[in-house]
Amino acid sequence: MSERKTERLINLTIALLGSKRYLTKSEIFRDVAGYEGSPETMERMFERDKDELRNLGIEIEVGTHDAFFEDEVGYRITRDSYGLNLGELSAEDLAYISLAGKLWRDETFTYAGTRALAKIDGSELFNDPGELGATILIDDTSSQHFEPILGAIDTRSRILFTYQSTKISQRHVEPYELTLWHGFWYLIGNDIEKSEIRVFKLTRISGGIEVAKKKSAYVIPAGFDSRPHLTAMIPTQTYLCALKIRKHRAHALRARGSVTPLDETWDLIEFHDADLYTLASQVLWHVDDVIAVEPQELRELAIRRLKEKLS
Amino acid sequence: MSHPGSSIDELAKVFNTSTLQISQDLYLLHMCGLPGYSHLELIDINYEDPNFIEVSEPQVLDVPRKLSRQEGISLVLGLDLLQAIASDPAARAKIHSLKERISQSLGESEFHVSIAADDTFISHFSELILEAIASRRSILMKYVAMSSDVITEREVLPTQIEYLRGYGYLHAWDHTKAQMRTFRMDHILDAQLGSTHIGSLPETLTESQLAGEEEATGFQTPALLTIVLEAQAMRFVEEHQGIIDSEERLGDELWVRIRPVNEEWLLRALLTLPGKVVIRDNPRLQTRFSEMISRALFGYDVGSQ
Repeated sequence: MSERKTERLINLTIALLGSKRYLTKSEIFRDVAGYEGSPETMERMFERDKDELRNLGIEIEVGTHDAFFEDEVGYRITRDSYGLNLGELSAEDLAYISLAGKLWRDETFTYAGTRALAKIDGSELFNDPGELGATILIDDTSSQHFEPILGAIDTRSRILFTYQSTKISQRHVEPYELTLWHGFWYLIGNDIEKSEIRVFKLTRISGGIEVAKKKSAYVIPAGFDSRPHLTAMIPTQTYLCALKIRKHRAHALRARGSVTPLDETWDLIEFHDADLYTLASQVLWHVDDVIAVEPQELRELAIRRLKEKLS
Repeated sequence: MSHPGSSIDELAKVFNTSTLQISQDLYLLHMCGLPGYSHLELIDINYEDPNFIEVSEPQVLDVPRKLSRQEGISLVLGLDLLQAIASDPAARAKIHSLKERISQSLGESEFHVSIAADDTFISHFSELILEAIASRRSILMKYVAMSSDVITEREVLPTQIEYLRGYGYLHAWDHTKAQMRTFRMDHILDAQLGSTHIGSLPETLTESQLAGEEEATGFQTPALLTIVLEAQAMRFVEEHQGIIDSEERLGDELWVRIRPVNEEWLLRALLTLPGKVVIRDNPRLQTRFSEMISRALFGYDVGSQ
């Protein structure tokens, strides 16, 4: 943005915020520094400036002095709509907000968090970020999709992207929500071709996201809750699992259940688990120190994964 | 305004821009004000001394602007996470009320962005470790190292928890090893607060001390490795972006270039994956991998036929 335009936008904001009444266009063109040229030029300038301020989150109210007379419409920015008002914040509130704003280490939220803290408590800007207790790191491949998806959710516009599952396909989706779950971001939305709600992992979206121009193209169901769609991916049937574990090995697995000595070399560990897919990985990690005994499905899964690698 | 007396250098640092840009912005702001634009109506900023900037008359811009949607989301999601970690019901209620206040200030009841509380964030020891970080105390922990499968007991001074790709990691100064170390939170078997304070951390750490990691490297082949996986094993690529140099999807196969890592770790990780795995350009490693598969199959009495 050019300096002249920035200066004009600041002047317009100050004028509309400082006025107790609606300012008409003619008053704005006459009094606010930066409006020059023919009436048509100033008109176009003003329309673009209004859009620019709205994009920055500054709401411009349109109204007239008296609703019963056909006055020229005017514009103003109220202090309530412009200013940040979170009410009284205690030291504890500020501590929580400060920690929340500094949790992120990614392209999208790190800067947004810093800006938010600067607005709430300017002194936060000068605090050392090294004082944090916890951070969330998000890989950049997910972050790059945030802006188009959030924008599309905002305007209720459909999106199109290439998705790499076991097969690569083009997906046409009405986006409902973004959720961070088990360390990865997921998009939950209505898959138009499949006519059902689907879950997409952002790291599996390849290339860019195309946002359709049409706005208000769909409605997000009231009270939509993404969690049932995410947890539907987790198996629900629980199995009694038995593993043969070599003595003094696989301590993390031992900690999961009851241990019964079998002989001088092996112990038997038993516990309940629903996710045999993940458990098979944990068993195979220990090579020949852990053998899946029960259920049969787990044993077969482990053997199959090993044999696949020899083929 | 909230920090009168800041220098141009400080402002450039916190706004992540150049000192020239800050000077230009201050000059521009100085030229703006209420219509009329007399000296009484302009924003008044003292910036002649680059070490002491002060806004003495902000005109009507005397309150911070409302949070943008993205700013609000960053705070609400952060609070979501803190709420998930907190075990104290009073703290959870307090955090919930803060989230409501931020949402209300934005005039939004739903952001359509959320964090689903899961066991990535809710480790048995998250709160204890955060308490140790806040009070700068050590923790005594029982830890099982992933590759060696050995349990060790150690006293560490935690400096940070990081959540990355589904796992929580603890960064801490290990007294025994005299190095910064990284520990997987789900491999901590037990932990309790210790008595050492963080003041006892060495003031100057060497680069190798700072870079220390729990799993030693020890890879015998420093060159990049090419591994061919089936598409169904793509989670491996997603979870280990830090060691992946490049990846390419060729039909149903994923061709992945991996930077050198702990050899034992890599072979075990590959063994756990679904589908076929081929280590290219490194016959020694492929042979070791095949031997590992045969050993595992032998345990099931099925051999490698």
